[in-house]
Amino acid sequence: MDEISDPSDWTSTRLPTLSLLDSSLRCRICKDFFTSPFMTECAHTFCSLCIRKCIASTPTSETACCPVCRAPVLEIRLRRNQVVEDLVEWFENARAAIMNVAKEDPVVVEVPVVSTTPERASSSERRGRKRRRDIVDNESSNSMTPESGDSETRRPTRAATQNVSYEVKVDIGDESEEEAVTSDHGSKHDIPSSVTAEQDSSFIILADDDGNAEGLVPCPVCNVIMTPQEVQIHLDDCFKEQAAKEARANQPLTSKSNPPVRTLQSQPLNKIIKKPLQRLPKLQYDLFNDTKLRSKLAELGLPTNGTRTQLQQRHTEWVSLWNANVDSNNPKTKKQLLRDLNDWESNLAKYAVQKVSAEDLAAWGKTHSNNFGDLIFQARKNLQKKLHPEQQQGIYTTANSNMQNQQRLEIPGPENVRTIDGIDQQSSSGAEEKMEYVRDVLTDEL
Amino acid sequence: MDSQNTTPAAFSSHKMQDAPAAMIDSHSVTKRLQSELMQLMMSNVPGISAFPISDSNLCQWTGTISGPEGTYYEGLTYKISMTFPPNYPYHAPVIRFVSPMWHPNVDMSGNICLDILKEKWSAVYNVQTILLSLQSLLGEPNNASPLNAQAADLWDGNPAEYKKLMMTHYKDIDEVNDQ
Repeated sequence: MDEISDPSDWTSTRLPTLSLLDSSLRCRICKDFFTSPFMTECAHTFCSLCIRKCIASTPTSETACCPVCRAPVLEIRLRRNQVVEDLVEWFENARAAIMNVAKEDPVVVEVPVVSTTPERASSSERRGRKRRRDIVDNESSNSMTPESGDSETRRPTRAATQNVSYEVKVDIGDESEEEAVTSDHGSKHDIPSSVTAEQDSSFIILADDDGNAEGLVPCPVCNVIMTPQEVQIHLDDCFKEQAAKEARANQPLTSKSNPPVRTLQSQPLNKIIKKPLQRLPKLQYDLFNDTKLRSKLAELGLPTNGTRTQLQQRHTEWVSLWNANVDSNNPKTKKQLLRDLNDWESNLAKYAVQKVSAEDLAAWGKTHSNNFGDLIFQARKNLQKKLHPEQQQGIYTTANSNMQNQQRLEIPGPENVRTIDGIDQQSSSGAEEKMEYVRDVLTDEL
Repeated sequence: MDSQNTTPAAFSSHKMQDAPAAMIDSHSVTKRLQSELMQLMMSNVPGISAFPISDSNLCQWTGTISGPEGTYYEGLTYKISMTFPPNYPYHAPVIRFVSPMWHPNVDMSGNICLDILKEKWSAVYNVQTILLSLQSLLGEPNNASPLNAQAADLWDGNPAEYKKLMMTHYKDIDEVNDQ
């Protein structure tokens, strides 16, 4: 399982306010980033699947209401929230990079360049941070730009550039003005006027190729060019980030490698090439008898075994899964969807078994009544031992004597516990009963 | 004392935990519960806590609620159990008081009568909102539909008696068996 990200991830960073942005881009039902966000009429946004399943879980369509504000919700009135979808995609792509920057201790990386003027020394902190960012930028652009150089690779590079501009914006608040002005990717790596060219250009990426690379070597991992001394320091960090990057890349391969712009544009094309996906209508199950319902399921290619309730539940779940998949930019295959349905159903079945075992408690209690009896007997005995010295607690011993009486007649099952308790509460004249109890014990021993 | 609260139910819940050792939750339920756990631990709200009973089964949690200030329950801590169904969050979790609880809307087995856990459940509710709702229920019971009629009568009628009876049922959290 991949690690769970959470808005609170930001609280310990230098950019705690981003947790608000982070949580706004999450569905309040699944607590994850929106997947195909859809908006209700009351202007609340949820994942397509989440809100569809939510509506499907209500007994009738009239009772369906917004999970947030309880305003009535109709499934056909749901509308795609395109802006949110794009925001999520961009933010998710940039999140790790922003997080890296935000977690960075401002003065962690000491620039090994000897500062000759006091002015430069004062700006070393800023440079340190900038340098980090360059590394991060570079990595993201690097990993997305394979050597093949076909037309596809241009776009990922641009996506990376976009990430960069995010980061710049984020840092604007505490960066100097000259930083904010140079929003363009290329010029950002040019040297700010206050610093001399040779010394501070150590972090120019390959793509910039403006001839500053003399006497510098590329990092073997990320190809960032720097002085040999700096490579030593840089390598450790670079390896770590590369490893993290790869771990991340394994997970959301489809969404990461395709920049959103491309997927959106290519979607209609996809649809033309494949069959256009149609939303499935809901069924009025009352109008279908078992056979009809089964044939309906068979039509859809679903399993047709099980009880009537199972058939209905299966169909409802399938409609939700299917329709949400239609909304998706990266639709799954039907095979995958069927697997999802199967997972869902087997999970439900396991729970049902569990539930029966809970309901079967009475029978279970009967077979284990001996154990119950023993345990209760033990417990009461212990209690009696504890309470015997203090005479004022007659109630317990009364209950105890009654218990013993009962036990001689029959082995008390779990239902007897209730009666004992009843006595527990009702008996008031402790002293009298106590005498009886002593008699009991005596006769017992005789 | 309230042995019907602990004895038979205790066995059943014990069995339920043992039986589904191989239970694999659907991805979404597990994921959602993991985020909830994270959120709960990060936000660190005073007076409430909750945690899964075991690593292998995220669908069984145990939690604690402290009585709110200015109520009969001030300074007391109660243990609750939470069971999440496989279709959580579309369906409400089952919440019970494990500690003996004397309250107008709680029966002697620890079952709770609270609308947001029944027909008013919403998929956006989570462990934290449930715990906070329960906490406020301790201070503001719904005496119109009581599960414990005696408590409902005494709530307004006889505060001293209420407090007395409530305390006879109270069990310190350390004495409550972890079922």
